Amino acid sequence: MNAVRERNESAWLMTSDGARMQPGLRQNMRTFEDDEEVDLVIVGCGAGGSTLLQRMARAGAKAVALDAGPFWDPETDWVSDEAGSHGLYWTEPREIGGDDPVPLGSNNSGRGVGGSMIHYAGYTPRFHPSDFRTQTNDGVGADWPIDYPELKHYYEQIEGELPVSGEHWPWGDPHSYPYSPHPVSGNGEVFQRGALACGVTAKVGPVAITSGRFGNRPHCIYRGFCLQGCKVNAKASPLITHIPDAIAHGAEVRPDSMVTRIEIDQRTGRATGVHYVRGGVARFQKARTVAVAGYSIETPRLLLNSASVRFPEGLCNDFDQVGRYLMVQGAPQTAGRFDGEVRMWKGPPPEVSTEDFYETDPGKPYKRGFSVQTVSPLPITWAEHVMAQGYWGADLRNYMSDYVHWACLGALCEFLPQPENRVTLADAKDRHGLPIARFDYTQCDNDKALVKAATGVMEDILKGAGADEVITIDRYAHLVGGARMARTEHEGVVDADCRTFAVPNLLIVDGSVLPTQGSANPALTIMAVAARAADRLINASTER
Amino acid sequence: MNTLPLEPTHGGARYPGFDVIEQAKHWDDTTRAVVEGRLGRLPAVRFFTEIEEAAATALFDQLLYQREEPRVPVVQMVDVRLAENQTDGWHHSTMPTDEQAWRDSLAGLNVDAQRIHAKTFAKCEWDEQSAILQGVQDRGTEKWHDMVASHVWSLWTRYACVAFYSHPSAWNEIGFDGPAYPRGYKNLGVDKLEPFEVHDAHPGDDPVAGRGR
Repeated sequence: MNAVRERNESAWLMTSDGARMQPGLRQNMRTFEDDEEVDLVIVGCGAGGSTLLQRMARAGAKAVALDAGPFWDPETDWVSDEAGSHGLYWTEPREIGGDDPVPLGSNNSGRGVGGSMIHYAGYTPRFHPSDFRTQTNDGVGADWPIDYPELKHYYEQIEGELPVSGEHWPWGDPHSYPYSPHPVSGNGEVFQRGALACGVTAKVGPVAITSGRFGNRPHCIYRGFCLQGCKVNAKASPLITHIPDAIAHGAEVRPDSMVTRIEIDQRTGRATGVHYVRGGVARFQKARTVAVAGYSIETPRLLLNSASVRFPEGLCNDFDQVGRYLMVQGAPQTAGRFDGEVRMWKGPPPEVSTEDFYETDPGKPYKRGFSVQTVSPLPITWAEHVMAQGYWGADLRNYMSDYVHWACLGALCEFLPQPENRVTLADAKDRHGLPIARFDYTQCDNDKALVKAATGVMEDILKGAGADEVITIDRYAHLVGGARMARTEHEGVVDADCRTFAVPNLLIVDGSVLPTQGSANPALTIMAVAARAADRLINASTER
Repeated sequence: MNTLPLEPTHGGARYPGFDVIEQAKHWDDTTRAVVEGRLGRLPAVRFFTEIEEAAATALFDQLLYQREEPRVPVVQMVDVRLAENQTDGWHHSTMPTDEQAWRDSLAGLNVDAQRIHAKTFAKCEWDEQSAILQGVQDRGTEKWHDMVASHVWSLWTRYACVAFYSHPSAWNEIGFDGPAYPRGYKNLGVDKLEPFEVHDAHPGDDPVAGRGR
């Protein structure tokens, strides 16, 4: 048996055509009663929660993961269509503010088993070693309480389990990928041609999309709807990479269950379980350990909504750290017009990237950097690009009719963590009667300088490839931070092992623990951090 | 309806004979049901009041340059979303929720139309409507009827584009292939077409080069 299958059999637990989990696996899933004290209850079944669940189930823990959304069946629940994919996103009410408000929903927030990785593009780059030391090296951002070498082993593990396809990666800690790079479409071809002309190194990958059969999962069919949920099951998400193995090892996944509050024993200060609502009925799951994995908006919101006598300002918020240092990446997208027909919607949007601009360049007036990747907006998203230029009416229709001629690149700029970029509770309440999240965001000067520089590089690449006109839309991508890991409780919410400083048996295992974000898409790092947290939790319980 | 009326000077007739619905037999059942549902009769308007419906119809006709039948039924498509709470969820802290922002902004259009032309927005001439909308867009980050104008503009255009560019007739107009599962694509690369794809008949019609604004 191969090494990946020995530690995670998910891809072999699919039917032979790769369409769904083997019959009976979900139907015969072990279930726990609310009043049965499980070893671990996890809130949220995305990148972090699912990885933790699978690891803990393998270690023999009685574990259940709750998710507010559905347990998806890709064949019948998802469509090869842009507008029809609305249900993949977290569309519960939220407020956005600050000088540079960040739209949520389809932009960065998933719902259901698999989380935001259901609709992420599929890029899975590692962070660079420098990302863990930005304060020491550059005087900006924050240092992590762990360094890259402590995560490297987990990066390798997860890259094998997704699996990741790509060329040999020359940036950061140079490494190879388990699966060969994909062929590229018109959009990737334009990027490669432009990069060559500009002296920029561009590489194919890294994407968590199969470029060959993996277990029972099939090869990608290049249909281009990665952001709408992969019906092919070629693109990795926890729904197919970790949940099947978790269930096979006795874990329960409980969908359609919105966790409303974490209960704390006011005498011992320990978490005793979670309150949740399913089908309109308020319930309580008892647990010896609680792990929150609701991502950067819902995790802080849940902590703030779990205030009690011991934690009057919100759970784990003794030092006003909950919800702070939330980051998005500046993600301007620049498109170029070509006489040839690029037809950028054909093939996966994630194809080719460069990390040539990732590190601090002492010759530039800003710190840290950005990456550039192919993106390929479908018609509705492309119309937003065109509208962002101010066109409407006949001009909009005219520009849109030119769609086949455009190629599009996207940057990920490393916006810095700032205390006032944060989640708080708004006055409005949702249908559960819980205060909704408010997310404020304001860019600092370094952030703005990075967006400007990245836009210039994308324009150069596209013009280098022969574009006669370029247009740019300013937008944001990804969320991380909001309950960051730190060395002390004065600087963050959890320690290096994702354990909260305030409550010994409460963990946070999702993107909200990341102290910095680099210019990398965060999914792989979130999973690697979760896999490491699982190992630490397992070791701690064996030592005890 | 497989194409929409659009003069060649505005980008019409670039993909002659291209019809994505002819490919529907190659789509999976779930996707086909969703896309073909857009071609059938939509529910009667429920969310918008009559006066809002009239203003919204004129607004969408303007934003999407739909001046004659057949049209993509954008007002019904948006009405369904608002009636069924299929919003994006988030809203600006300076704005009401999307549902209320729609009611307030449509009322704002009627206030402007009454003030300038002494009639409702829907009753204004095409050019009068265009000028009112241009006035809103030109306000940028300034307030318009107690809302930030650019947020209102973003609300209008987002809903308009989601509806219009989800319609197969709009896909035909821009050469987009629509759903692609389980078929996928075989010919990737610049100027490489699938057998069913149609080349742009007017590749020199670069809106940037000459004709836009």
